[in-house]
Amino acid sequence: MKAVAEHSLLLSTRQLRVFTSRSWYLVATLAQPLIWMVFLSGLLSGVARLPGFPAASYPQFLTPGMAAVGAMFGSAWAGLTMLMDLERGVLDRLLMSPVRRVAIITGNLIPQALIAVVQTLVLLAAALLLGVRYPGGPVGLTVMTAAVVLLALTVAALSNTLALRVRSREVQITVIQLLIFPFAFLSTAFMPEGLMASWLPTALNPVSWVVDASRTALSAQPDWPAVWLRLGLLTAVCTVSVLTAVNAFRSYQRSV
Amino acid sequence: MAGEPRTVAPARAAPAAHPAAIEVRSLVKTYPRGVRALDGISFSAARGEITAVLGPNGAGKSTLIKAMATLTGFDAGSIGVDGVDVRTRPAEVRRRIGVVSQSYSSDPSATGYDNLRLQARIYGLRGDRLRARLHELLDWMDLGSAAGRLVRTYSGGMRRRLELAMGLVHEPAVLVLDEPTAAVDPVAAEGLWSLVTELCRDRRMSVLLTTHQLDEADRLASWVVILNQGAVVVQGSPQDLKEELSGDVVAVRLTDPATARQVEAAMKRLAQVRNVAWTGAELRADIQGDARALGSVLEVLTAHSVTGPVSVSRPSLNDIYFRHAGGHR
Repeated sequence: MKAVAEHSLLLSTRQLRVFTSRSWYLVATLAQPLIWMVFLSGLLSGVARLPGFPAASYPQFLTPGMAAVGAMFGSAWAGLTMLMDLERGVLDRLLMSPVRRVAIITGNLIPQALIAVVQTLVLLAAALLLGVRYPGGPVGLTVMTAAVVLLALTVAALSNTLALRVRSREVQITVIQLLIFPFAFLSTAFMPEGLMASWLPTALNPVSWVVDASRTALSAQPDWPAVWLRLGLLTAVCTVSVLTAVNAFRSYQRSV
Repeated sequence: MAGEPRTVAPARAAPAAHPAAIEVRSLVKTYPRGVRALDGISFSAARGEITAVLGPNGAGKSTLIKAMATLTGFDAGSIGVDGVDVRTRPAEVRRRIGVVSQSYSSDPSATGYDNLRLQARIYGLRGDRLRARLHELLDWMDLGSAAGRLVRTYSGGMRRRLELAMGLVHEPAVLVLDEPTAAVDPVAAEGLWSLVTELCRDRRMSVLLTTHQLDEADRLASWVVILNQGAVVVQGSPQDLKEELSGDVVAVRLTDPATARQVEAAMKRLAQVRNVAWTGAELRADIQGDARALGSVLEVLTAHSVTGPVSVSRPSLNDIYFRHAGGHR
């Protein structure tokens, strides 16, 4: 177990080092959700004036949604890193070394979770500057961060699964683009459920689980059963996704 | 099947107390869809020496290395690396073997130092020992001044030296080099070989290499294993293998296909010609006997009005290779 933790840390650090060594990459990744937040706040500001809108302002409503969508957008590309390692021979070199196999997966997933946390904190800081206040305080913030981490891990694991199964950058990019936008827009990230058509399956969308759990936890009177239900669902989906990725990795090993 | 493998020298048996660096026994590997990459390979590589595995593309060299390095499984047989069984103790084998792959395996988006450091950390090096080892390797591979640069900016030779450093970082008992001089200029290749020779001579490291450069194998290896179609067709010391071809080799360049066919057929009819093989447009005939044998060969060439360049030489490892590993026009 100690070796798994140590190797996960080594491989995570490797990815984060590549990430932080390119300032434009780092800035673009952290700025993307902020840019979306600015534009969407302008574009949809009128929504906040509709009767029954569940927040004091649109930025207050949007911040948890943007944190969830930003985490999904970022971690959806995790599989490309795995593919590049595979194509560059890095993966085979790791497999010929004593590195623990599971650490190759966790070393890819953990950086995504960390980046998602930093993105969330940047978004929150921006929201505070815009005058947004969350009565839920540190507890609400912890719930939102935990939910975002679970979503980032889930999406990154599924992205790895896809990469290890299809082993083609073109297919990977096409499938990811096909999926991320419907998951973003068919969630409660940008619009309250009450303003969306009733047939849209927002309740089945893990992005909505993150957004809904975060919003209620950040509110003055959190609906804790609803929070726990969504965190539970996210944990279950995350566990299955990570196991699927580990399984896909084993299948890759057998095919070498 | 390429027939019964032959050993042109007494078989080498390592004493039990000092197992061979690599001991491969009856190794069989079949890929999905029935492609048999390794068809019962057996050989051993002695400690502290360089063993060369030669063979055409698709002979099974890379599969053999993948199996030794625990990267791929196999169906039957066994491999021992430094006396450790690959199948039952793969984790221990990984600590004892260093592999420098045919294709690059370093991360081009990281610096040379970071690549080497990660590799060293994976093998458990840390603190002063880690720093000392990295410093030593970077100095030795003449990469000290380039260590902080991204690997994507390295020349082919620098990148090969970095790959070698990564394979050596944990001081393996056995170093496996898979076509290390492919795509490297002759000066860089020479530098690489002097490093490898130094490893064997001064550090008693055992080296197994695959190469297409037969003169390199001839010069460096003390034992040569020639594979073809997944089987060992011949093995022995380069000297013994060459002595097996005691006559001379006549090489003639034939560009006209019709003449080429006729000359090949006529050569094969000569009793003094033991083997005829092609290297591109060059026909190489092993001839046995004295000057009269050479005269008969030249008569065939004259009879077919061959005007291209003709040379007569002592057999090289190339001739052994073409004799055993094919060389059909």
